[in-house]
Amino acid sequence: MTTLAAAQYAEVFSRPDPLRITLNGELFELDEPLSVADLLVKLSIDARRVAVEHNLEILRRPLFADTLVHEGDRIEIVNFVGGG
Amino acid sequence: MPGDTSLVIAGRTFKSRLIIGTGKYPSHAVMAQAHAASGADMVTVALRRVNISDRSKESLLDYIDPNIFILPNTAGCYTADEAIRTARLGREAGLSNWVKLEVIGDERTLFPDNEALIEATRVLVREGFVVLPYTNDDLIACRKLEDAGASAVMPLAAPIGSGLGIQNANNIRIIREFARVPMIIDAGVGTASDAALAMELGADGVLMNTAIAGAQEPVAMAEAMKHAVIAGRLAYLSGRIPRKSYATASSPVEGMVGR
Repeated sequence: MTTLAAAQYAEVFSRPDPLRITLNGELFELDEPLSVADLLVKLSIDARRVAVEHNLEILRRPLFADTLVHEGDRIEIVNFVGGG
Repeated sequence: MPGDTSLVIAGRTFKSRLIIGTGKYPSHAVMAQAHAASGADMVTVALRRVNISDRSKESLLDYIDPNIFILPNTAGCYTADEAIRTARLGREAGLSNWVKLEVIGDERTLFPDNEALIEATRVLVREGFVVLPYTNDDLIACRKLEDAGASAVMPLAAPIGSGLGIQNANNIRIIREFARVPMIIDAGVGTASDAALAMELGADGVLMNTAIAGAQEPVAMAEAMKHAVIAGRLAYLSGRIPRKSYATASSPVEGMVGR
């Protein structure tokens, strides 16, 4: 194994397993544990415009920053769209 | 007209008796123009999952005048539980506790499931919601919704998006006669005369989406609806003449030349 390949090997296997969550019904992977507020930032979503359900419970907006997303969590992010 | 009052629902006063939607417009810009032309100060919106993979879409809310009151709906919900969950999310996303409650019972007609609707109304009212339920043109269903705490009753004119106009004018008139809360005609309006007729029958307001958004000229139709609602209201308050089977001359019958 060349030095470069060994370095790549080490880098890949030192990485923690990705976190798997269900986001709006789809499988979604996160590199690291993060708060709901950070998740919204990562997704470029304005927190003031959405409602979030965390494991079927509505998450009040003031709790976004302090609520961590865990492996297997189910997150729903909804917003207003045109309707009658 | 002197003596007319404003539309008041759950203590909130609205300048217009026309409530319109935000769906199916050719563009957000056309929607905003139609809203302005209609004079409506309440619009309905739906709640859906954010598109995670495509964040390019502009936000609907950027195109709604901040002075317009936003009424989230529970469109597309088929059970009381689903509708309750959606209403709670709408409250969280929108900062108001109002909901246009829909519990659909049939996919083809989009007729409401009144049993589930009444149950959901009861639960949401207990949680402090102002509930405006979309229902049939059925007096008993409307009465049960009132008893469950609904702040208005919203019987349909015809199936949602059908544009058929008022199918059972007498039922609508009867519901208005008995209702203790505002009666809003919700769904089925096709053109301005349908809205005027709803108001002439005593409706306190009319709610529509497709009739405006689906018209070839949505902005002009929005203005037509504004006038129709005002005209219908004035006609209702003015006390129309009784219907007769035969003619009554408008000009004097005496003094005719050459007789």
